[in-house]
Amino acid sequence: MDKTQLVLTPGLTPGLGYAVTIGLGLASLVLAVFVRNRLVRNTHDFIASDRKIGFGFGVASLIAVWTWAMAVMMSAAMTFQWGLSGLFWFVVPNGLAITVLVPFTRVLRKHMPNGYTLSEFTRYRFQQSKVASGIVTIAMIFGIILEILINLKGTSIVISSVFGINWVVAAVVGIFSVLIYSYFGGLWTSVITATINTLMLTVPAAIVVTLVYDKIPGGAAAVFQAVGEANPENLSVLRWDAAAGFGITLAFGLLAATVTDQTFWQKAWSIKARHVNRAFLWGGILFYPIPICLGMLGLAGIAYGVSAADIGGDIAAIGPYIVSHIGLPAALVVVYVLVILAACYSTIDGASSALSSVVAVDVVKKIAPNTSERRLFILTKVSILIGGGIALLIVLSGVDFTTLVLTTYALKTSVLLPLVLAILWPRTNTLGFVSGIVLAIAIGMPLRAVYGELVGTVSILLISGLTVYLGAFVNPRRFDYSVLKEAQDLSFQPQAVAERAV
Amino acid sequence: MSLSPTSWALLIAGLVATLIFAAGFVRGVRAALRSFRQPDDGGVVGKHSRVGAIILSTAASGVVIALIGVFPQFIYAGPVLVILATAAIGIAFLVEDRLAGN
Repeated sequence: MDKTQLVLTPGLTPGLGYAVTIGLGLASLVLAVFVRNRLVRNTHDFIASDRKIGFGFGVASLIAVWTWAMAVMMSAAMTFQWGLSGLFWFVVPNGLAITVLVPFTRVLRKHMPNGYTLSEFTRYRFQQSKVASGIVTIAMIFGIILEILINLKGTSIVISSVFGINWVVAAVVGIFSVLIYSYFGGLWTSVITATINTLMLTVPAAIVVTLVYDKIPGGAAAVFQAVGEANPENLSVLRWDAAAGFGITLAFGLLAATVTDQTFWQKAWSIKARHVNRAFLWGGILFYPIPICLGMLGLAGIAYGVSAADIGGDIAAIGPYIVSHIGLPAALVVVYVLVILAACYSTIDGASSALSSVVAVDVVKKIAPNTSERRLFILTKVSILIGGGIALLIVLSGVDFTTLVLTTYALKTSVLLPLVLAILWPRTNTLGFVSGIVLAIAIGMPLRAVYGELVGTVSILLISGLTVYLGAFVNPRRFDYSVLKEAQDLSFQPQAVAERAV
Repeated sequence: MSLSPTSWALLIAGLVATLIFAAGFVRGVRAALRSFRQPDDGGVVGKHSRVGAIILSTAASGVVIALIGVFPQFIYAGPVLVILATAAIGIAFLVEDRLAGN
């Protein structure tokens, strides 16, 4: 087994790349128009699907929005870099991050049945505090924009490297393909297209990975042997350097990502109440196999002795590299690209839909409560285009994402524990919540810059959590959760009711 | 290209899982269209946090990954589980009407 045997599959032309990228968007557009005509009449339908998402759609869409384009590639990349320890630390916290939401969805759906966003929850939870809800709104919007641009960047890299298309053109074509269909149908479109994308993420991925191993002389046994010979630790899940190098930090980051991600909360408030807990549980459990399956491409990379330099210096490319160089027919390489595109499109449209709910509930209705239903509906839809446009501009500008990533990281990690306590602990108050977040950013982030990821993350969590705890002693009072029931359903606004009657 | 017996088995299993998924999806779309503007209180949110199932599934995923490092055959565990997951999603659509609150 030698890397000189790896040769690029012929026939992967730019035309084929455009056809795949645009074709998937057009197919989704047809579905979006159908959904728009049959299931969406007002803003409430657009951002909450009238709270009628069933169990199956709930499970499938949760899997799709959590399977980022980068996740498809990073499962192989982490395996390639750290062996099975890398796969372990990538996969286990990833699935856990969804299932761990069950206790929170249970509490929030019970106490706030008419909610839409986490920022809205914060507003009611902290006596209409503009500071508290403002911080959460900003964290949500930053997180959503980051989701869109990371997936857009990842996809443009894959499309450009596999089909030889300029990455700028690939990014523009990709974002337009998603935004056009996202604009029409809102959450219902996102959920239905995400479900189809989940099918594309699963069976094709399993078949492609299996066929890759068919192409390797000696198959799985030969790979197993070569990986062990390269470094016996590659076959262990107990490497401490993998845990310290990225695993522990990633685990906290993933938990912060889901708990503070409106993409998930939008679904938590839109899935039928009787299915919501089970949907999140099944979503997390059924997510696990996807990165485990795709991680096997990383083992193949180790077995062939591929180095980071061989694949352009970015280990995220190991999966696409193996699939496109192992000798599979071009059609199967296209299937693999479709797996990545499905991950990308479903995450971007899920994030866009989440953005529309934040804009409708936490921006427009907050700034101008008397906005008419018709105007609100239009603004909600336009926000999807604006969010996608901003993400595209950031990607095209070529700027380093580091600042945005760090800012989002700071906000999300700082918000994590105060938010968790706000949901579960009635003694959490506005003083503790706001102070906890502000102090975590002010003290924790410099510590992170000086002492690294692990110390920084633990510091941020400790500072934010302890401050909330101290705040409860400075101003002791218990929150009455029945206040959350005051949150009003948009469908009960006069114009929306009139629209329902039509 | 020639396929190994494992690939053939997974290909057939994948096809069956896809059919189950597709049947569930069609049922889900029909249910969504039927429910449009129909009264449906969505039921009551479940009382349990499912902590046991969360811990068990997390541990199981770790064990599967660890076993890949012990038995080379477990390299195919990922593809097999992915196909089972696809079928499970299809089943989720098919059984949702029969599920009470959780």
